[in-house]
Amino acid sequence: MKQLSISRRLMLLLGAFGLMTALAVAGFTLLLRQSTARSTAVTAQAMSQQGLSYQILEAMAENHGRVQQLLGLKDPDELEAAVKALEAGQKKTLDLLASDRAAFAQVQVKYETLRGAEHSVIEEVLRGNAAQAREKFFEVAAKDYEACMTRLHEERKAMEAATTTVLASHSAEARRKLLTQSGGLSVVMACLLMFGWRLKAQIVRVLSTASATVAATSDQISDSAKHFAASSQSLAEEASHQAASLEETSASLEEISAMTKRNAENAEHGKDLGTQARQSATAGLGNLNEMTRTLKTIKAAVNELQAAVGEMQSSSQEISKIIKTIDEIAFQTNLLALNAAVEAARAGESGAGFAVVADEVRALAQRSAQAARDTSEKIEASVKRNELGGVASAKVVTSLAEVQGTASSLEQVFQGIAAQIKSLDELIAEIATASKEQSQGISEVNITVSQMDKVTQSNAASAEENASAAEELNSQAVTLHDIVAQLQQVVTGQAAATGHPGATIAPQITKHAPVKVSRPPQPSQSRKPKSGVPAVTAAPGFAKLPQNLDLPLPEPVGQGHRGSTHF
Amino acid sequence: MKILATTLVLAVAVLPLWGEGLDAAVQPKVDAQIKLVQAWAADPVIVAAVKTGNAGQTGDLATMTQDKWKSLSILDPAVRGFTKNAAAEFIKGKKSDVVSESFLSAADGTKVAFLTKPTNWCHKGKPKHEEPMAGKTWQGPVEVDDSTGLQQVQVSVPVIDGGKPIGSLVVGLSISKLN
Repeated sequence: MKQLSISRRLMLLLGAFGLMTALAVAGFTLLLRQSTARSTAVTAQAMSQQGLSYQILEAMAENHGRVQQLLGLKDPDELEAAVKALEAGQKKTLDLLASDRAAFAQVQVKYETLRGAEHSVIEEVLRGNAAQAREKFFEVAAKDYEACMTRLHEERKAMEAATTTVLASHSAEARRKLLTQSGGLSVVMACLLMFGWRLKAQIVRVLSTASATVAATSDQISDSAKHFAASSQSLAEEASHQAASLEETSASLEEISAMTKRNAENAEHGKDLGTQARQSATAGLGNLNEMTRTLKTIKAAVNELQAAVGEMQSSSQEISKIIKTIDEIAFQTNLLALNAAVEAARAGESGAGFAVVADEVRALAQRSAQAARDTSEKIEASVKRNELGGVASAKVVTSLAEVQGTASSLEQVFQGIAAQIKSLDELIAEIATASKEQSQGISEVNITVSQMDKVTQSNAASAEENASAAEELNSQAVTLHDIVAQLQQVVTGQAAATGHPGATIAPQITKHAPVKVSRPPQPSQSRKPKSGVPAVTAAPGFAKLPQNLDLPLPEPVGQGHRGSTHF
Repeated sequence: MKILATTLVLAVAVLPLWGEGLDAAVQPKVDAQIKLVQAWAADPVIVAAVKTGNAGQTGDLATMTQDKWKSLSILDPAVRGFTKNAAAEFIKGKKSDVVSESFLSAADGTKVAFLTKPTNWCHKGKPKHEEPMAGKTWQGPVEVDDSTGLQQVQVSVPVIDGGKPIGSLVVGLSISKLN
């Protein structure tokens, strides 16, 4: 025979209870409705009669008031209107009394008497017998009115008593039916309670096993959470260290990048300087060629100067010869003058004049000789200088030759420098290109490091999330343990006392501050657990668990039956 | 027995007032009202109604006696006729808090019109009629009205036609309202 599961049995029990409750409610409701309907009908009839009695009372009172008012009227028009109103009021009273003859039969008899008395009063008023009318009103009509009111009051009391009696009988009948229904319902409920008792015993047995299993599982979860927390902590620390290394790497890369950039800039600058140097070398080579041409011109000029100096030397020699001749002439002249002076001295006075001339000539001869000697000296000095000039020219020529040779060598050197500068320029260009490529490469490396940093940040955040999740898991394991304890208490009725399995885990979990890197944080498309503790979303199954259970915890129960609690 | 007692009570209440004169302060107001009543009596509607009444009553009224009159209800058509004719409408127009009652009589003392049914059908031989028929104004003593229980004084003036009295107009003045 197929056994029903506990849930189905519970549902069956609940259904039976529900059905019985519904039947009981329906029965009680039906009973209540019937009782209420009958009571309502009786009450409505009583209320109607009461209302009617009050209407009759009101109508009678109005009529009595009108009659009393008539006593003070004299104006025929007012009297006529008052009499008509009174007649209408009396008719209304009669109609009201006739609407429930059975209830107000005695009142109607009394009212007929009252109406007769009122009529008698009115007749006296209309005849102008005010005193008689007043006497009849107070002596007869007022008493009849009093009797009528008393009768009406008695009738109302009688109606109230009858209504109370009827309602009491209805209430007693309803109570009898209620007791009958309650008895039947109690029997059925007792059967259901027995069934529920048996079911409860089965459920307690099953829940005991299940709670033991859950307790063991919660211990395992707690241990796992402990390991998980430790691993997460380690991972967070590693990620933190990695982030620090990346930070240093990133800083070094930034420095390298800066240096490379500077190299590239220097290379560019060197390239410019090389270009300028090449241009300067080219210009120097041109200037050197120009100088070589100038040297050749100078050499030609020096040659011409040498020739001129030679010619000047020969001219000086000829001049020297001439000056010697002049000097000899002057010497001869001097001698002649001296002879002439001797001859003039001999001549005496006659020769005095001649002697003067001879002195003058002799002076001139001496002066010529002196001039010739001076000129000769000058010429000799000039010759010597010419000679020196020729020597110097020769030296100049020699030097020019040497300079020409040097210029030739210098030209070769300049050509070599230009070629080397060109090579240097090319090298610098290559260095600049290499520096640019190197800078790009470093930028790419920098980006890669940045991405690695993000990943590291993310890893650190994930590690922190894992740590928080582990903590949460541990907390939920504790909660689970509490629930198990509560469940065990519910099942066994005894409070189990034990410590929380994961109570020591929480202090081991260290929350790491988010890793900070000097560069500005890059926007992340994924999680952003950078500040504070990362938000951890509890598993749906744990989200609604009670957080504050003040129940003693049970001892962990050993491994029990796992799997479905389907019996 | 009780009727007798009531009558005695009323008599005791009324007797002190019987024949009692008016307060001197009220008399001028009564005199002023008399002048008004005289003016009413001179109205052509009143004069014409009295002349018609003097021509003789018709129908059952021609044979009306005091006993028969007393037995008639106020709402009797014959009585209501006296409250709905032209003279009655005129008197109604003059009704006020001061004027509590009023009736118009022909020369023979029978009624021509009134505000409320008077106790007597004919006032012939009564001073309130005879004095005006002699061309005089009459003023009665202070008395208590049975229906209202208030003090009043009746005055009557002649209805004159061609210089001769042809009827009387009696008006009851409420003293409390005059005050």
